[in-house]
Amino acid sequence: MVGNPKISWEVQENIGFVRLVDEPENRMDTRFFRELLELTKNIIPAADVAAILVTGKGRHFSSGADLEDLRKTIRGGHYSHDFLMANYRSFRFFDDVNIPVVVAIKGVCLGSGLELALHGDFRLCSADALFGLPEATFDLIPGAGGIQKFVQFAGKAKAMELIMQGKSFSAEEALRLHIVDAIFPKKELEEKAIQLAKRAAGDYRKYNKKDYLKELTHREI
Amino acid sequence: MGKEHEIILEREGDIGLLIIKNLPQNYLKRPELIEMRQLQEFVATGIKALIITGAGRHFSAGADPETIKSQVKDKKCFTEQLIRGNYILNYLDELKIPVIAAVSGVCFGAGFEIALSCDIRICELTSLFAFPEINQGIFPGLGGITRLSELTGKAVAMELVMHGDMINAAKAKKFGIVDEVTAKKQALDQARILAKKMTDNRPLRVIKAVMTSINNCKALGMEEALKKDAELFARLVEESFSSE
Repeated sequence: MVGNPKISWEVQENIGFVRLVDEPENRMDTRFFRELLELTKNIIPAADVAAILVTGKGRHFSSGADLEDLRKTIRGGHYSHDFLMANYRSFRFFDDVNIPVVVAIKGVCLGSGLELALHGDFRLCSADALFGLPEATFDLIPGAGGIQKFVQFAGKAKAMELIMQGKSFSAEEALRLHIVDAIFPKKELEEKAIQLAKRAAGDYRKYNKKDYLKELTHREI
Repeated sequence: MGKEHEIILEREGDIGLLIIKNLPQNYLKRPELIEMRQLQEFVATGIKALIITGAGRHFSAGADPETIKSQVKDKKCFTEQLIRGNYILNYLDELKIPVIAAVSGVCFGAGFEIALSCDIRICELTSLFAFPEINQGIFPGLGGITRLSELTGKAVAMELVMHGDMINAAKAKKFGIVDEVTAKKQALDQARILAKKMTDNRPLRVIKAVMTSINNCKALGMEEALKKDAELFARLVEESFSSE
């Protein structure tokens, strides 16, 4: 393969770092999804880690799918369904994996970027983070579990409103909608996410999610 | 016996309005809210969202007890009507466009069951909800118990159905029964605003795809729902970009 990788995987102590590294927007194209599939199918399951941290390099988490590029792949007929299901399974891995997954979000987190984030166990974001599922404005729908996850966290009414309208929303609104669990200043975000990943790695599932967050934010959630 | 209820169907641009009218409390005369064919024809005119509301001050106080008493005498006929009533509410529940209940005043019994079959419920500060059926020795027969349990969990649903007491808007919001509480006389306007937000500039096929996916969350398991999403997505890509 030529070109720079779209994702980096790095293990520090017992934490595995998944970083989207296609700056500035960390877009998800066909190559990104191929790398993510390899990572979730072969690399992470074989790694000795007790927690995963998912984050974006640079200013943003991810602006979502590269529509131009995906369109070519998807329009290839029969292949499209398998391709979409594979993408979905890669996202679903983070939901199913038996260790805590912390997602740290700054900048934009849109479309498939948000869909990926919604499959983690914890979502922390910076105050300037911007969220949204804009697919409907391109006459599409979020097709990788985003709708199901959004309904689960924010309820049907808000899911319908925000998905059909395709409007982006702030970190504050995301917190109100239970789309994110806590907001931190940008400078502290990664440090807090690592702290949470380490804490949850040690004794995952002994406590409620709420208790971890309470400890991290020093306040009632 | 009470007088027949009337259903008014109106279009405001792309949004359909279904108004229950039997002033003042909008009592329902039959378990069937509306005739299925009439409802289907209205939807087929291409509306992108449907708002259900009551004429005047109230949504609906449900079936009036006197009417039920006289109807039950013909058991077979009443059962058939109940079944048809169920079909109507299931149809609303599964409709592939947003269905919003705009609730003013009372929303009792079968009226409450209609509101529960909608996707979104908007009510006013002064709205009241109840399943008073238990006081007549009956229970909500149009799927209301199931739909309420899905929203509130078993404990709250049991209390409301077995006790028959009214709850106010604040409590309904707290229990997750309503999605939004507005000032007095504002529910319908708020429903219009929301319906417009969701449907303006959206092709019907996109609205239907989103609603199909949302309904699949409940109807299918995660795996199956996602397979359907992949199909819907691929189809939309074909349709949306085929002209290019």
